[in-house]
Amino acid sequence: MDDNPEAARALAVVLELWGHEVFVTHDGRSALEHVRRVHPDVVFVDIGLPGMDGFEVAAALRREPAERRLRVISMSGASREGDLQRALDSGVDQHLSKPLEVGFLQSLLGPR
Amino acid sequence: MLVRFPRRYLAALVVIWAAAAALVATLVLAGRDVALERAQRSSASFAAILAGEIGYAFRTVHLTLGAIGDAYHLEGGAPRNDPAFRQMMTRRLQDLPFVRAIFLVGPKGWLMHDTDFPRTPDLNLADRPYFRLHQADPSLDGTISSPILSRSGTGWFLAATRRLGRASAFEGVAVAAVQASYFRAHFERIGLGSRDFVALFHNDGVLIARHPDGNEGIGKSFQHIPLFSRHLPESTDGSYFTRNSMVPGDRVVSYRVIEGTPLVVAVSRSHVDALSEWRRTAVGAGVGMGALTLMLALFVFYVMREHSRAERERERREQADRLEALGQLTGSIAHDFGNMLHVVSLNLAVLREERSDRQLKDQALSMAQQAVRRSAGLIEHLLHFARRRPLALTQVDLAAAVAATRDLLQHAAGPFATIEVVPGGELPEVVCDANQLETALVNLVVNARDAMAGSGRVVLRTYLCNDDNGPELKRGRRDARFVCLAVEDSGSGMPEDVRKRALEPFFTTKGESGTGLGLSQVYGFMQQVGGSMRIDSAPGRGTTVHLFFPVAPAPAGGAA
Repeated sequence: MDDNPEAARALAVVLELWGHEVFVTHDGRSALEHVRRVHPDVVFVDIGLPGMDGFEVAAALRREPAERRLRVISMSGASREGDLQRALDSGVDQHLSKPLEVGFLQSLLGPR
Repeated sequence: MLVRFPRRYLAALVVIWAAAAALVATLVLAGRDVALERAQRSSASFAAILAGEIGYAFRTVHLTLGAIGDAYHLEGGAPRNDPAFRQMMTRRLQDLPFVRAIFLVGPKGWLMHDTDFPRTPDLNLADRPYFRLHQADPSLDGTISSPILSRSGTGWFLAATRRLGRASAFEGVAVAAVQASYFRAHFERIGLGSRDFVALFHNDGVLIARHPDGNEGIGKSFQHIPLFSRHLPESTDGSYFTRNSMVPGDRVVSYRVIEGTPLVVAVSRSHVDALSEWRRTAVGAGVGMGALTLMLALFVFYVMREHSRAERERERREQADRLEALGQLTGSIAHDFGNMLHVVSLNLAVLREERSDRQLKDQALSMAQQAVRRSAGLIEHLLHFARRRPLALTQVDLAAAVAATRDLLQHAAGPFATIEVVPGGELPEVVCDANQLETALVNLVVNARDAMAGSGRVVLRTYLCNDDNGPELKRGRRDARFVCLAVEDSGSGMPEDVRKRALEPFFTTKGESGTGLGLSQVYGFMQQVGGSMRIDSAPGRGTTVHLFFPVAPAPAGGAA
C-alpha cells in the first residue's frame, strides 16, 4: 500500500517478478478491506498517507484476530526521529526507509 | 520605510539648514547696519554738542570784544598802552580761558592795547587779512580767521575780531587770540574712544585742532578730503562713511558747521569700535551656525549608519527567513526524494531480473527515467530557492509568478494538501521581487499546511482591487490600484488575539518548531514593495491572507 502510484507499481512489479501475488492499494481503508478479503502473508505499508497514516493502518491490522500470522513492513520516504519507535509500537514487524535495498528485501521475503 | 528615509529627509535637512543659514546671515547683516547707524547717530550728537560748546565760546568772545570796543569808543580812544585800559582788558580776559590775549589794533595797523604788554614788540598788523577785511568793509561786524602762527612764539591761534568805531569812521580792530591748543585740550578732556577722531576746521579747509595726535597738520589745508570736496557744499551738517581719509580705516564721520562762525567740527568713529559688539554677536551666530551644522552632520551620519545597520539586519533576516522556509521545505522534499529513489531502485531491480520480459523492462526504464527527471527538477527548485539574492523590485505579472511557484508550493504544503491557483484574468503588472514573493508564498503555505494539520486545500487567487474593496491602504495612496493576492486555507483559523499578533517577529503558535519569523518576513516584504497586507481569520473558518501589491506605473508612451 502506497499513495505514490509509481512507487506502488514499481514495488508490485518487482514482487511479482519474484513470484509473489501482489495487491496494490493507495489508502489505509482499502488496504484493510483487501487484507480481510485475501489474507496476505505480508503487507507493505507506506507511512505518509492521507487520512489514516501507516502507523494507524499497522495498528488496525494488528487488531484483526484473523491475521495473527500477517507480517507488517512499514516504509517511509524520509524517516523522522521517533518513526522507528512508533512503528514498533504500532506492531510493525520491520520498518524500512525508502529507497528499499532490493537485496535486503529479497532476503527478508526469501525464507517464506 | 527605513529604506526610503535618508535621501528624502536629507534633502529636507539641507533645506532647513540653508533656511537657518540665510536667516542668521540676514539677521547678522541687519545687525551690522543697526550698529553702524547707532555709531553714526552717536557721532552726530557728539558733533552737535561740540558745535554748541564752541559756538557758545565764540559768541562770548564776540560779546567781550564788543564791550571792550564800546569802552574804547566811549573813552575816545585811550592813550596807547594805557595801564587802566589794559587792566580792564585783562580782567575780561580772565573770564575767557580759551583766549590767550586780547589786543586792539589802531586804524593804521599799530598795536594800541595788548593784554600781553609789555612783552609784545611794537608791531604793525596792517598786513593781517582780518585788518584788511575790516578796513575795506564797514558792514563787517566780526571775523574768525584761519589759524595763525603767533609771531610772539605762543603757537597757533584764531583771530576773532570785531570792528572798532561806528560805521563811518574806522577806528581799528579788536582782536581776541583764541588758542588753537585749547580745543585740543577740550577734545582730550571729554574722553573719546581711543579710535575716535575729532577735528575742528576753518571752512577754508585749514585744520585748527585735532585729537588725537594734536599737533599734526595744524594750519594745513585739508580742502581735498570728502568733507570739503563733497559733503560741506551740500549741507551744513550730516554724516557719511569714508575710508582712509585723514585717519586710517573704515569710519563714520559726522560734521556740523558751528553756527555764527566759519568753523566746522567733525567727529569720526571707527568701524572697529562701532562694530565691536556686533562682531561678538556675529561670531556667536557663526559659532552657533557651525554647531548646528556639526549637529546636523552628526545626525545625518548617525541616521545613515543606523540605516545601513538596519539594512544589514534586514538582509540577515531575509536570509534567515529563507533558511527557515527552506528548512520547512526540506522535510517534504526529502520525502519526495526517498520516493523517487525508491522508484528508481525498484525499477533497476526489474531491469536486472532475468524473468523480466522486454515490455516490462521498457516500462521500468521509462519509469526510472521519469523519476530521475522529477528528482532533477526538485533539486533545481531547491537550489533556486536557497540561493541568496538581493531585493530586486521589478514589474511582475503576479498571476504568472504565482503559477510558476505552484510546484514548489505543493512541496511546501506536503503531499496531502492541494494547492489551487485561481488567476484573475487580465491583470496589470505590479511592483514586486519574484524571489521574495516565492519565499513569502512558501511561508504562507507552510503556515496553511500547519493550520490544516497536513491535509486540506490552499487556494491562491489574484484579482484587481480598487481602494473600495481594498482594506487598510496607506494614506496618500488612495488613488493607487492594487493587485491582491489572497492565500486562503481550509485550516483551523486563528482567534482574534493571535491574529492581531501574527505579524510580530518571533511570535509563534507552533512552540519549538516555529521561529515566529514567517509572517513577519511577508510583512517586511510587503512594506518593501510599497504594498500592504491583511489577515482575515476566525477559529474554524480558515485563514485568508491578502497581499496588496501596488500596480506598476505604465511605461512611458506605452499602453497602460
